[in-house]
Amino acid sequence: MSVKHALLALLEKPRYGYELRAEFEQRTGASWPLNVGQVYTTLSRLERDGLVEAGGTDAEGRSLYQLTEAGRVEVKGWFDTPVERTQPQRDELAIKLAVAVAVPSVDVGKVVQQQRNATMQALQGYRRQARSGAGDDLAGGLVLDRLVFAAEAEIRWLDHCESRLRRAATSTAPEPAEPTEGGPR
Amino acid sequence: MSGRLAGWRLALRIGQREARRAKWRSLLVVLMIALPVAGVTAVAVTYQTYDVDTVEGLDRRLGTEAAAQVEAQSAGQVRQGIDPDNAAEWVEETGDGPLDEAGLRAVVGDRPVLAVNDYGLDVRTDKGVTWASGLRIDLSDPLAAGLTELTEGRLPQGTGEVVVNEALAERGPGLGEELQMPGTGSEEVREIVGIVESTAVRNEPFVAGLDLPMAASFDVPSWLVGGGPMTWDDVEKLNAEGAFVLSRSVAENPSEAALAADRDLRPRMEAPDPAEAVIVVLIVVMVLLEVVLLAGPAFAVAARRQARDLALIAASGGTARQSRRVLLGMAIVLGAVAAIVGAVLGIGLGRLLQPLAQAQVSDWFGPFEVPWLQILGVAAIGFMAAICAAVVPAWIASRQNVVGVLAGRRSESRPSRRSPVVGIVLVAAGVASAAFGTQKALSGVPIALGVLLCVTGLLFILPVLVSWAARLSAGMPLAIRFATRDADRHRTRTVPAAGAIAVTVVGVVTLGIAFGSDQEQNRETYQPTVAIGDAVVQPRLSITEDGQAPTTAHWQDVARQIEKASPGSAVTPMTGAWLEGDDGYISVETDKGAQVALDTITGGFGELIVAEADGAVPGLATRSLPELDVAAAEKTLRSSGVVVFTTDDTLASARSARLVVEEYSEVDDTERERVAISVPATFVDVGDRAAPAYAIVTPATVRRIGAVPQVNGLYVEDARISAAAETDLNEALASGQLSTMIQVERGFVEEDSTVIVWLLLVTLGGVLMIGGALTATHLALNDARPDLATLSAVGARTRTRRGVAAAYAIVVALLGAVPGAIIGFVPGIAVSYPLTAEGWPVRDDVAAHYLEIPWTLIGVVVVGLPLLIAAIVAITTRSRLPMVARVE
Amino acid sequence: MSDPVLRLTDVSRVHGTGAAEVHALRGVSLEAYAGELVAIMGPSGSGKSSLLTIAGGLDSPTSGSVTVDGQDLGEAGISGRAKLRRTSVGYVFQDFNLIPALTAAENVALPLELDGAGRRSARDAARVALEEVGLDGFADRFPDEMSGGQRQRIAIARAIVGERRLILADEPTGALDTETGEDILKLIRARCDAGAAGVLVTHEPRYASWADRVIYVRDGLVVDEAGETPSTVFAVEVEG
Repeated sequence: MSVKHALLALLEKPRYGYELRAEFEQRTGASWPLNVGQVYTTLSRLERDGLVEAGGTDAEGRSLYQLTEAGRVEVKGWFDTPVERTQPQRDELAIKLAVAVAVPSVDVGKVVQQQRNATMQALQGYRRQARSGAGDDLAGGLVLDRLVFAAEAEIRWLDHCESRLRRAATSTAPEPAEPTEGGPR
Repeated sequence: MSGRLAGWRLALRIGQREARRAKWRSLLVVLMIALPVAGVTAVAVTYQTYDVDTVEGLDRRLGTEAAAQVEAQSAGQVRQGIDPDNAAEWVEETGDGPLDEAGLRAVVGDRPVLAVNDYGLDVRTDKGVTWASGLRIDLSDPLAAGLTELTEGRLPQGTGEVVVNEALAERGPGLGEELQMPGTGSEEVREIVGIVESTAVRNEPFVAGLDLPMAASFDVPSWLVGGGPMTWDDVEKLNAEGAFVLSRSVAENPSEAALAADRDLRPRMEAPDPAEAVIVVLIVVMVLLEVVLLAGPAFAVAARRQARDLALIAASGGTARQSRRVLLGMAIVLGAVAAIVGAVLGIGLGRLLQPLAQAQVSDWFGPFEVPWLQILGVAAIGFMAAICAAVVPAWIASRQNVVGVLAGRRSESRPSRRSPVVGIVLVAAGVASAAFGTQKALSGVPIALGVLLCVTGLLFILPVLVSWAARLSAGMPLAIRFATRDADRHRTRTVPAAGAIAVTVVGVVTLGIAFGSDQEQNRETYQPTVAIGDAVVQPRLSITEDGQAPTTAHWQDVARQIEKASPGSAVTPMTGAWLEGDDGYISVETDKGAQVALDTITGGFGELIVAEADGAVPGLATRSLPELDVAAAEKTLRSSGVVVFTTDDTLASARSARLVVEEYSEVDDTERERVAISVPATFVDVGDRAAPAYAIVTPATVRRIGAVPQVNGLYVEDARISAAAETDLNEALASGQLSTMIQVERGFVEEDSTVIVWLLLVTLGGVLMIGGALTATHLALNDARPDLATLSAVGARTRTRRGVAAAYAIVVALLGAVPGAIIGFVPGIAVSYPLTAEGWPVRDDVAAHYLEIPWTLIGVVVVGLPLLIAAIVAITTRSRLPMVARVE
Repeated sequence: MSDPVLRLTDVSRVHGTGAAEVHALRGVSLEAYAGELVAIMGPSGSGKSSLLTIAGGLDSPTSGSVTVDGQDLGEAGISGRAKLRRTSVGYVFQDFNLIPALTAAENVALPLELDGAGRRSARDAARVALEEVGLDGFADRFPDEMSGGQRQRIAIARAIVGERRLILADEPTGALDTETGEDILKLIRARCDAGAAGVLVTHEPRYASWADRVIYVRDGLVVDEAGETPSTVFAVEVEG
């Protein structure tokens, strides 16, 4: 993941550091908060690599950064290359479940349900964000959608895990595995 | 070729499965087709069984033993075919007189011979006199075997003994009692010694025996001949002697010569009148159309149900033809089943109903027979009906919008713009054809063709009417709106259902107008015999033929009976002029020798009625011609003149007339005047009415022309006799010493059969309409299940389903009945022209055409029946709405 | 806290008898409050649709009780339940279940018309509902002439017409693409925010997440629940 490239891309128009941070957060729907220090560190590295250059100051005396020619090439290259599919994002969950299946004292079903409830609450959170207007502009909407789809995928995967666990339980045990938690609230 | 067959095989297989899957609908189609097939088949079987041909009838006419029957018909030669009843010819009328028994024996040799006569005669029963079939034969002779079957008592042996059948015994003269036979001069009496069943006569009176009285005029010498087979040669020999022969062997195994003679002599099969044939064909087409239309909606629903399958076939590369075949395959399967079921059912029905049918006719039925060829034809028509019913839905289904169907759209496309134009053209052609039919009296072809054209045209217009109705329904209550729009969305289902109703209504309205106009003509042109309320009493015909002159005492006797039955009525004897001998007749001419113009005379007292000696005009004349100047007439009569009736008003001033007795001579085939006298006369113009006689004369005048005044009836003024009392009185009068009958003039009375015809029309129309509307409604309800479920889900009350069902029924019924009634006027009015065209006699006052629109009938059919159908549907429909419940 | 709009108490439903016996629901209890949208999730055959048909009075429970707006459905009888569906409960189906012979406006006005409302007033109410689902120009179109999303919006208009207190939606997005589905959920959510109670049956988490509470049903039993407790939701919605 490249905050570096994202900031670089936002420098199509000359900006000063604080403005750059605000722009990033607005576009991505405040999903990945950045601190100003991080922004300036990144900018200095970019300047070192010859991708940006300091381009004067604005009316209030803040120094503006702008893309160099090399920076432009770098941004184009970034957009032209698909994001590489690396390891699943939530390795930890996958590992947790894999281990839970192997450890007899753990109720895997409960692990799944807890995780699913948590993810569903996250999903509901995204919904609330959307309804409160966070996703009203296109860029923010797209980022929010990304999160919704990811959470949805995770819940589906957890549903699927649950089904497989139940099937596995039925095929080993004579009685169908009763849910550990039942009834209304 | 095999590829083509394989295409059909697939279609038939799918059709068969679909037919089995939708059992209820398949049953409906099968019934719609099988029932008419069964009905026609049953009638065909019954008729074929009833119809007895020569071979089947041999035992009835010859018994079981005789080889032939010989009938000495003529003095000269005759020729005949196989059965002289069917083919005969008199060659020459010269000769020595009919063959006698000796002559017969000379021809046939030493065969046994038995004289036989069958004829009709009067017999007395408990209630009066009735007509009976008489068979004069020695029943104990072996040759008579098989003509009758003894059920009780014994066969007659000596003189004075007869046997009767059960039908006669039931009416009075039973076993051991006496049988009185009036009519042949004196009354004959015989003893009944046995009860028999005749093989020829069934439930009508029958009497047999050797000693049976017989009028000389009936004596056609006739014999049963026994022995070996009578050959065609024997037949021809007897023909040469003027005798006809029915030979068992010739009938059973006709020789070439016999067949040739038969062909030659059999009256040309009246080449069926082409007009009649066309009308029969048109009627068959109409019936076929009705069946097709009744079965059509079921196929339309089948097409809808299969629409998805058909779309999938199309989507996987099937051609339109292959799509069509799937539905036609179903029609083939159902049509074949229906045709076979109908034929089998019809044959069974014919067999079952045989005793019932037998009871309706007096002839014995022949052996049970199945006219296979005709039944095959009927079954084939039924089969065709199924195919025809499926053709339109199949065509539409094969051209459906594949994408739309697969996307789940259920509606049909808009009605074509061309179809109403075609429809209007067809209706216009039909109207023109019917109008042309009115120009040619009694030519039914253009009118029948007009009906067919109009009905076909209507079928083309109906889709548009259905769409209009749907548009009009926008402001109507929900149920009507829903039903009308749904009807529009499923036009292939709605149009044939409404069409079937329309065809029915067209038929009912046409027949209604025709019959109503006919009745109207009868009413308007009715001519009373005598003044309304009066009655005449006259001798029964059979008695006067015997030549017995009734005496005044007889008439006084009858008059007392009448006075008793109708107290307060004036009963006066009527006197006519009677000519001795039977070769003369009386006519009245003007003094210039021209026949006096007169349309008809009524009353039946003869050409002349004779006034009392004092010149009083008989009530018959004064009461039917109230404007008659009685004083002038009586003055004329008193001065030995005559009162002449005429329709010619130019004769009013004439003062004399000629009374003529003419006679006809057989010798030189000429007419000549026997007597002619000139008398002073008063002419009375009767105008449009019938005259009571040619003229009123005095007894003296009657004698002047060589005739005798004779009482020949009674005139009853103000007969206070009800119709029922009239029947009773007639029975009493018939068995009186002088057998007479009374006839009360009641003016125009609609016969009972009129009411029956109206009821029949309404019932027939009702049954077909209710059948059509009910099937359409139930098919529609079945189709609309998902919508009804939706209605239920959004909270429809339970009665909503009933409302929707009733609305469906009323929409379909009205869509059929209203246009049907309008179209029905065309042939109805057209057919009233030839039907009420001027008849005989030509009368000035009679309109050239009568038209009576039976508004009540039309109202019942157009308003009453739809409401009745809606009520039936509302009552019979389950009110429960389907629920959307799923088993998960 | 006021009474729930919908309350299912220990509801069981058995289809068929003997060997063919199917337990669609086994003692489910559930409440839905005004302003709340409850999602019911579960795999096919879990009994979630049975729950909805029983809540809508289209089917009766084998045991247990259902009350809508304080009225016991068992006591209401067939006609009482029908009356409730005309006036208080709006039902949205997966396959829309519009009546093809009626126009959009007529379909929407259907419950009111069935309830005996005048044509004019029913039509006016239908127009308001159509406007709410964004189909004000489509009143006189027939369902066949519309897209799936439009049809489902008509169905929702029919379910909300005349101020329904309870909206039951059975996989309303099943036949629709994601974006159209989101639009449909927005409409349902808006109605709940305006004070109606909603129950949504779905198997898609993305739509379930529109709900305040998500209930998992499996083999006729409620096995899990996610989301805030109704009391907090109620408080939030009332205050917000």
